[in-house]
Amino acid sequence: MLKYVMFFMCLGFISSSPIDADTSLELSVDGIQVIRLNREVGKNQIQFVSDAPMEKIHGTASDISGALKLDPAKLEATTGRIVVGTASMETGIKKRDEHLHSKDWLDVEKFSNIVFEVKALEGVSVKANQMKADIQATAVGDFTLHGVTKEVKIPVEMTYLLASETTKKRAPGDFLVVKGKFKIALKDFDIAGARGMVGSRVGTEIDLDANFFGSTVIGDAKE
Amino acid sequence: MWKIISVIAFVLILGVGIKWVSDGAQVFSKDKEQVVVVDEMFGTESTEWKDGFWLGLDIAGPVVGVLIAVGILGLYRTKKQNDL
Repeated sequence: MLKYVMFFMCLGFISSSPIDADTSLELSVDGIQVIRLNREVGKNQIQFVSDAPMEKIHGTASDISGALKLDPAKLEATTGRIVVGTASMETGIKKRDEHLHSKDWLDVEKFSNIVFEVKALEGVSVKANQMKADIQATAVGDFTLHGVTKEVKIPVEMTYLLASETTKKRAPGDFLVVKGKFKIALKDFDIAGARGMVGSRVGTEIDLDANFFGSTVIGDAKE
Repeated sequence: MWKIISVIAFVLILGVGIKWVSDGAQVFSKDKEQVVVVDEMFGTESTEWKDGFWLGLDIAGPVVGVLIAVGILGLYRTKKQNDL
């Protein structure tokens, strides 16, 4: 008797497991959507802040490209690749930016891109109306910086907008807006730095705030 | 003449100090400043960089240091001339 109880309990656990849950977009979207980052939809940018002893360093990276593959019937299966050109990172001081790009820090000549390979979404929840869906999830993927790759989990908020007269003013197709905030520790990516304007003024952890905008119709997005 | 030099030096110290404070009292001089732009459709914020020059302590400090030295030298020379 106990064996049967245990068996059905296990079945119940497996069937309710979030890994197997299929969360739908709840919009009238058919088939897998390939969404390419598109600057006509919005400004793709990552803002970063380093809370260092002498001052807070604020910077941006704006050379961002990539695409996401989204299955409206199973959002957990979303995959994609986001590429950030390291040379586009700037902090408002030319000399500091030169140090940041140098061999002692990001080594832009050797490692020209920062890459995030999205493998899946976890913990997906959706709130939708007729024209848009707001999605909360955790993006799981491989983050490659300075030649080092680590698996990261980034909480993201996404908004899927169906094409309308309002969106067509910017670009054709459906839109996807992705917002994510996360932290990285420079030492995890073999970035120890050296003296100079960046030097010991950089905090050990960097706060990153990303906004990505894409569309289902190919615009002039770089890939 | 030395009196005039020291007065000019202290006026310049005040000027550099005011410029430094009005530029945000930053440690480092900047050649670009962040301007926040709000996207009306999505409500997201992005940053544009505006070219310019904002004086930081890295330049203001040494300049003020030199001016203080000139000012003190001017006062000392003036006093010496008066004693003679």
